[in-house]
Amino acid sequence: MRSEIEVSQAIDKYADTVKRICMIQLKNFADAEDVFQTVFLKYALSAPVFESEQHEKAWIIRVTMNACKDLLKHFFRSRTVPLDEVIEQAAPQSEDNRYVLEAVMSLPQKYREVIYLHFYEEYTAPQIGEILEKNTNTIYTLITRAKSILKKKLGGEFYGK
Amino acid sequence: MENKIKNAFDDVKADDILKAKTKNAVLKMVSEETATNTRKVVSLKPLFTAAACFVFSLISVIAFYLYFTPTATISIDLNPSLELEINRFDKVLSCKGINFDGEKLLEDLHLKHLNYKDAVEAVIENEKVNALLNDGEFMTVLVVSDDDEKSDEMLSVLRHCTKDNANTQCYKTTCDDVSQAHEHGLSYGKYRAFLIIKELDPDFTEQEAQNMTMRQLKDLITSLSDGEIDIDAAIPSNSNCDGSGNNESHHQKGEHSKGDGSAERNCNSTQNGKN
Repeated sequence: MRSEIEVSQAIDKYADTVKRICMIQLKNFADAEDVFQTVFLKYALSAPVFESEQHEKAWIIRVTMNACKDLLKHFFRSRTVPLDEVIEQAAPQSEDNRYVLEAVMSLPQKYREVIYLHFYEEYTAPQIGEILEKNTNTIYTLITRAKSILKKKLGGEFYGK
Repeated sequence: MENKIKNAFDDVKADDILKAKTKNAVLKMVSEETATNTRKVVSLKPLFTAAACFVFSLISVIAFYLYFTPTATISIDLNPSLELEINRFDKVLSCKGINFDGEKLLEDLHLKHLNYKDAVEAVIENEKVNALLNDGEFMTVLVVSDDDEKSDEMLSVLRHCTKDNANTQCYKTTCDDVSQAHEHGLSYGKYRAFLIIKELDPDFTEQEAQNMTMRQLKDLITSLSDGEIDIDAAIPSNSNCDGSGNNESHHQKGEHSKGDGSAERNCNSTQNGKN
């Protein structure tokens, strides 16, 4: 079991990451509070010794994704809200950012996941495969297809910038 | 493209309220979990195990004590002479040969943990003992206990066991009398006879008594006292005699007991009970 200070530090450090994954997986922020509590309680009570910060972060991401998936199976979960509303809640600082977020969030879930992990968290395909427990080749395929769809959505000019 | 996606996601942040709520909730749940675990650990498993061990140990010690504490002794004198230690459950805890013949006899008998009635019957039914009794030898069976109720009960059982043997006498006494006998290296039956003979013949020694059979001691008393004293009657104080199957003994015992108030009282009370 981890100390109060360790738990507090982890919340400060990984809260943004957890929130982003909640947005990608759930397409709403109403259930984020439940996911936060599930993830950090598990962290507080868990015994694993992390070899590095990367290892710890990967653990948090995997646990958050699983918590979101569990929540999606739950009958009483909050329903997804319109995309505009989600983007509004995410409060992007610029029109460009809003435009990109809308494009990513309009992708199917399997593409959203890999786009976030690959472009934002900068994981390689094998690392993403490990986190999502999927075959590496499947991840390569998903990344390629997601890029292709995004290109169409954002337009060649924007995509190339 | 990579940078644009990074910038877009950078704008998504967890607000301070959500962080604070999460901290409070998680830390509260952790402390509840810890308290539950502590309660479980402290109150259930070790306590239950310790209590169970304690109760088991206590029961074992009490059971061991109750079973292996002798509450009575049965001394059998015929030459061979034996002593059987009996527990509160009427089982034989140990058997000891008081002389060489007694030790020899015990080699043929397995009396440990038998009921004392079965043990005495096994002694009487033993081939050697049976042969001696048929040859007219005399056997005394003595119950030694400080518990009057227990010794009365045992005496009654042993009288019943030996009622078919006219040459057998059962009686009871207390532990003090027996320890005096043991100090002189004699079984209680022989010690009792030795005391009578010693009064009639001061030169008579314990060694001589040790080497004689009960029949020989009984006959010696009869001859030294010109038939006026019989061993059956010579019961020391706080002993209780039984001249089972021997009316003559009863009579003689009554006569002899005139000189010993307590012996007379004990003997007469038994006789009265029988009559």
